[in-house]
Amino acid sequence: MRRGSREIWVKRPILWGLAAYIAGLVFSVYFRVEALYCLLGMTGAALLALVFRRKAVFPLLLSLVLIFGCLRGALFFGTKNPLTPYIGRRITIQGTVIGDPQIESDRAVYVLDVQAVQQTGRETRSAKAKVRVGHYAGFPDPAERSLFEAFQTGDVLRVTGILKEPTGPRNPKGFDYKGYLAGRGIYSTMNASGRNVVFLKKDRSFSIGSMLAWFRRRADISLDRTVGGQEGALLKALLLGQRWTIEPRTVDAFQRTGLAHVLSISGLHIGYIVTLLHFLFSRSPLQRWTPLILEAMILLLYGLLVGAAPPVARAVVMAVIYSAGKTMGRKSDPINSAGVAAFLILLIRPMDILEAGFQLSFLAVGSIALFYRPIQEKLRFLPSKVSSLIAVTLSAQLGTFPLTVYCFNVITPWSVLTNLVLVPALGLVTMGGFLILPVGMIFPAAAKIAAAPLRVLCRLVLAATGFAARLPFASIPAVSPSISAVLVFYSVLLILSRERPAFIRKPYVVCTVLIGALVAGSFLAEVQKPKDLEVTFVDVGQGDCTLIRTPDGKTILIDGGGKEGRNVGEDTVLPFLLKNGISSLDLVIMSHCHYDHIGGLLPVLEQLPVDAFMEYPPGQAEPAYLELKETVRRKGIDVLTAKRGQTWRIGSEVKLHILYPEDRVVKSLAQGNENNVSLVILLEYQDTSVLFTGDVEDRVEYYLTGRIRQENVDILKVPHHGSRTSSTEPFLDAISPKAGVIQVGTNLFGHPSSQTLDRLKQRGARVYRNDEQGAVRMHYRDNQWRIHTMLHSP
Amino acid sequence: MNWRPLLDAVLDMIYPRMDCILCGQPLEKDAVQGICSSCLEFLPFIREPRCSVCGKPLEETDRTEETERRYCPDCRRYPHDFDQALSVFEFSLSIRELIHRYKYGKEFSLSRTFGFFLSELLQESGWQTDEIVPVPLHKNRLRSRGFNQSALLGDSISGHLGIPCMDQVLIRNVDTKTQTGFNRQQRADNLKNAFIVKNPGPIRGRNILLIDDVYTTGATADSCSRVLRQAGAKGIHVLTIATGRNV
Repeated sequence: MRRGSREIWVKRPILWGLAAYIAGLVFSVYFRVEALYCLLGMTGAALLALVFRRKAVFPLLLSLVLIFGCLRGALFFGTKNPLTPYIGRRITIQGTVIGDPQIESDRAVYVLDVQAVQQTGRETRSAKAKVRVGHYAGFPDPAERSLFEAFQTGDVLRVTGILKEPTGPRNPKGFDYKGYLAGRGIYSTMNASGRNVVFLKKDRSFSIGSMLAWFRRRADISLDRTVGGQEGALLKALLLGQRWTIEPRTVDAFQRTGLAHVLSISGLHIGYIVTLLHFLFSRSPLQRWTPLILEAMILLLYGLLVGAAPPVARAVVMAVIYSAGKTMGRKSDPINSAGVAAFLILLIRPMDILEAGFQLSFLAVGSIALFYRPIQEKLRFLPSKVSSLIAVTLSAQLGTFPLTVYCFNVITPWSVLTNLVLVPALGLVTMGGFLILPVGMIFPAAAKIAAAPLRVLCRLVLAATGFAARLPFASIPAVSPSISAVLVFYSVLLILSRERPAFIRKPYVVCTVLIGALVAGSFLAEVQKPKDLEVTFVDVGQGDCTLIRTPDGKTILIDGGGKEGRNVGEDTVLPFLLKNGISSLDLVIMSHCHYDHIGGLLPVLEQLPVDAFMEYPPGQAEPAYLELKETVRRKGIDVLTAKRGQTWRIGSEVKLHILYPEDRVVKSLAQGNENNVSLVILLEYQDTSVLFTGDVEDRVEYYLTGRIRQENVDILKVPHHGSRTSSTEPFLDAISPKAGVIQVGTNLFGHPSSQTLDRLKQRGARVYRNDEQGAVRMHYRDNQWRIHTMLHSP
Repeated sequence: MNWRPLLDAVLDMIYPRMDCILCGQPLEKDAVQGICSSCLEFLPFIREPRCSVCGKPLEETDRTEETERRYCPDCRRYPHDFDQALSVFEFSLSIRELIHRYKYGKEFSLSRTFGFFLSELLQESGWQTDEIVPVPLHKNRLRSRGFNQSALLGDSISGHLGIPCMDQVLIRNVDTKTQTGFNRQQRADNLKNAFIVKNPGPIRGRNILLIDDVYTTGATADSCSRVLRQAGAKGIHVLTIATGRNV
């Protein structure tokens, strides 16, 4: 008997079109193409298609789509920032707040649709651009917060500040802020504090955007009144997408349990709404097209209301295709519908192709479409509701697993279980919330009573999540797999599915070969890798953080940055380590106990296996330090007390000479200033050396000047973020560094001082700065330092 | 311009036919109208010999010459008001289920599959056809079902062959009971005066093709044909998806 093919790409021409379009987009990202050439190419392909008529129409149409993708990409990515001439200058911009203002504890973030620009002393010009404005309270007094909380979507503001261009990744494999904003059409940012933001008027013109903003505000107030507290915040995140209203600790608990996807509005939520709508419509007298149009409109408005992130847009399109198919008597095919959705989204926002949210959403859907049925069939012995829930969770996780690890560096072994229990619970919460929201906006008192069970449910969910997050092995930090490993995983997944390509006759053999090739390839790459010393001065903002990788693969971390009110360890240091393939450390060194050096170390010591911890005990023990030591004790990490005269051998070729502190003098030199208790370490490798100085100041430098034996210090970690009171002339003369690295970020102390910079330059040292160049990475190979910075100096 | 084929092509892109509409197995690339080759082989197409009037299949034992007209027992006894009728399929279990899915299971897209086979048969028949008139539903029935199954078939044939389909000419002005379970006499009585021609202009002197889903005794077709004739239609042919066997 002749059998039809089940191959994924057969009978789904849209997938071919999508692939061609994406290829065009990606091509235009990597090779900036001129739009004109694209137009010419499209005309050519169209003409050829006309000439050949039936013979080669499909490939020609595909190439037409491919070139169209190029054109779309060229038009999108080729956009120039109209405000470029003002970058780095202090200007005043005037514009309307668009989108949802994001209000955090110490700042509010707006996207301003700018209409006019004025440079001080010059005339006002009209301009059209989007600028991201960070409005900082500027006052420690929380009462002043009301000052900036007042601004809403549609307000016209005048903001004065220095216009900046966002930067690309500041650390190796770090977050590309510039690309992230560019994807939203934003090419410049401005920070302003307090009264530098002036309210002018309300934009009264009516638009869908203003209507949605009004609705969002009303809903926000209503939820505060009827539910309130952490439960209200959870509902706001679930219904309105205001994830930032939830306490960071709670968000953390959701992430640790693999439930982060329910906190950001996703396809799941649209599914809940569709279920609710279908239930309501099936009990209404509405016929045929009316419910469909109503449903489509409600979904569209809701999508816009919550900001239409890729997963939401995807789910809305797929839901409408599904319901329209029902109305027209056509059966929708999930994979094909997802292809249509991807095409539509990428037509409107081509940048989404590079976003993890987009990729994860489509991987989840594709994987559910392929594996839901086979998994459920294996679980026949369970009640069908349970087995289908397990099948959905498992198949979605299967599809998103490698990319989740790649992007978020965490494995959550319990997530199948927690999803199983909490996803239905959150579904109830969401649907209940949708019913209560309109009631609360009209009869607040009635809603308050009705909300009581919902509040209990919310509290249960929060408690359960908190409990699950505390389970052992709730979240295991994991290094990012290589891109080829991710690709092999997805190829294997497709080959093992029912819709595998027909030319693969022996799927298991092919999979084994693929995996074997991957293992062999990574082994070869490991062997081929040059053995060299690598030192990375990580950009942690204001603060120190240095990673050393020895030729034989030992890893040393000196300090971990830290900033009050921010979690530098979780947000910067851990991702940096894990994304660069480091899942354990041989040695963690604390230079001294100040927060901008140890604040970010805590999560590192907490989450990664660490062999040893090196310190010199501080004079005064502060809470952050005590917490650090408690973690070190609890995890049984060896504590090494460093002292002058010691030499630690790390691996076979690297030596750490401790130059300071010396017990005898430290008290009199420090005089209660912890900076002068900093470890001073000379790293020696082959014929070169690097001097790490922590935050030592002039007194310690004078002490060291006469005692430094080695004359060939090539690299100096400039002491104390380039402070005026460090890097004294005799000290610099004694060590004569070829290059100095200043670990510094935005600060109020005036670091680095211009005198320090001059002193370094006068001695011929090249100066590298984290604040201007991002992370600085150095390799010593063939008796030569190769230095690479993440950003180009301005 | 007829937008139907273009619309269908776009919809086919959004809703590709993945599996056979009968057996659910994946379709071959070159499958006919969503039916896989093995199911297509087993479809009960009506072939010769069949009744020269109502198109019902006849037993092979009926030994008459090829060229001669052949009649089923019913058509020998009762005359019909239409000129000739044809059906694509014999009303087998599988066809019955398919029609049921079409009418009550809201699988409107099956109208395209049926429309394709109806068009093929119409071309074979060699009938002169100027206009297509679907058997109408009463407006109450239309509201409860949501669509007229015959009108969709008419649209589909119209899309294939370019013959205009007129679904506002013939109107059912009595909400008749369903014909199922009635005998010949009851069927005819049930339909008495059920149809009127609202707008006789476009049918006067024209050759009409009447479309319905199932042909049983021909009561519906006769009832419609009568009023169409009165309104001045020249020739009247009837095309249906399926018909039963008459013994």
